[in-house]
Amino acid sequence: MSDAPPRPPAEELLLALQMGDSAYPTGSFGYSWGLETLLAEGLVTRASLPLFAEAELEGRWHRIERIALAGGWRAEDVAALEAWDALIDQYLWSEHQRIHSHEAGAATLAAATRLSLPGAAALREGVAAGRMAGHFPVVTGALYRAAGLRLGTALLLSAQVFLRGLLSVAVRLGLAGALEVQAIMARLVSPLARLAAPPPPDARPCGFSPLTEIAQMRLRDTRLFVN
Amino acid sequence: MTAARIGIGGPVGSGKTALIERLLAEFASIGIEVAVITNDLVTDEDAERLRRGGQLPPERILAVQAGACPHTVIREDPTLNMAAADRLEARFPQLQLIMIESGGDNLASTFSLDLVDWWMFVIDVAGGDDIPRKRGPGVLQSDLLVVNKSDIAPHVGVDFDAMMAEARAVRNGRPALATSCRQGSGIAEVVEHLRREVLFS
Repeated sequence: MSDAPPRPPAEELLLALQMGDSAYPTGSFGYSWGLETLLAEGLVTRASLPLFAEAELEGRWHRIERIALAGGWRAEDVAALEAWDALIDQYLWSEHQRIHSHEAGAATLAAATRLSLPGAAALREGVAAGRMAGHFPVVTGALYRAAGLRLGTALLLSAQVFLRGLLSVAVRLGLAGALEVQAIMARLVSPLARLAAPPPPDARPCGFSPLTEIAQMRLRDTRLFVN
Repeated sequence: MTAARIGIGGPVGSGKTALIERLLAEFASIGIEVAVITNDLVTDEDAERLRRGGQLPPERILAVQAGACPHTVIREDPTLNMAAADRLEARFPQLQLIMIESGGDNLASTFSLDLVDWWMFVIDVAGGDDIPRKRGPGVLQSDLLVVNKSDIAPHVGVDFDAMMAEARAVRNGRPALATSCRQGSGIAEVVEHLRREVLFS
C-alpha cells in the first residue's frame, strides 16, 4: 500500500478519533462475535463481563486480530497484502469466524470505497476479483495506514474499537448499563495499551478463545446479531 | 447497469413484507428484475417468508441482522446493507431494482440516502389514526407514504378518508397512497409510482 504523508500528531489524533468513533460506518455493530450466544446461555453474566472482556482482548484481539492488522498495515503493496490475507485465512480454523471476517471486511470496504479512502478501491477490486478474501483486521490495517495512521496508533485504535464493540453488544442486549461499561473500559486502559504493542514482523496468529469460537459455530435461530 | 435501491420502512406489523410480496408479483408480470434484502430484528422470518413464497429465487433474497439497532443498519451505519446490495448486484448484473426492507421500528426511522435512492414508509390503520398527526420523520420525510390495511379501517374505528387527508396534509405535497395488501387494492398505484419515480419506465 502507498504511504500517506506523515500526519502531525494533532491531525493523527483527530483522524483516529474519527475512524474509531461509533458513528464511523464499518458495519461492525452488527457482529457480536459469539457474545450474544454466550449471554443467552448464561456462560457470560453481568458479573463476569469485565473479566470476559479482558480475556477476549488478550486471547482474541491481542493474539489474532493484532497480528492480522499489523500485517495488513505493514504490507508494502497490494500483492503483499493479498499474500498476508491468504495466510490469515489459513490461520482462522473456525469456518463461521472466517466467513464473518470476510463479510465484515466487505462491509468496511463498501463504506471505505464510497468515502474514497486511499487504497480502498484497489482492495475492493482485489476482493471482487477473488484475489483476496479481505479479512476484517487485514483490510482495516491497510486502510489505517493509507489514511496516515502510524502502526502504534492503528493498533491502539483497533483494540479500543474491539473493546467498545464488545461492550456495546452487552449494552444493547440489556446485560450491562452504558455507564457500567465505561467503567470497565476505563479499568482496561492500561492492559489495552500494553496489549496493543506492535508485534514483530514474523509474528503469526496463535490465539485461544474457545468460548467465543465455539459460540460462533452455534448460532442461535433467534438472534439480533450476525454472529 | 446499476440497480435502483429503494427502502421500505415502517412500524412492526404495518405490512411491509406483505407489500413486498404484492410488488414482487406485479414486477414479475411486467418483467422487472428484482432482489430483496430484509433486515430482521431478531430472526430471518421475513426473508424465509419471501423465500417460501417462491416469487423470487431464494438466492435473490438476503437477510441482514440489525445488531439490535434497526435504525442504525439503515441510517447511521448502513454498510452491512450496502455490502449485501453490492453482493446481489455482482451476482445478478441484470437486476433493475433492489428492495431493502427495514426490520420494523417506530416512527422515527429513516433511510440513509447513502444506502437508497428512494424510500417509502408503510403505516397501517390498526396502528391508530393519529399516526400522521405524530409527524414522525418516517411519515414526513419518506418519498412515498403508504397507509395499509384500508380494508379493516371500519373495524378498528378509523375514519380512513380523514386519516388519508391528514397524512397528505402533514407531508406538504409529498405523495401518500392507500393500500390493502390483503385484498390487493392500491398495489397497482404503488407500482405505477415506482415505475415513474424510480425506474423511469
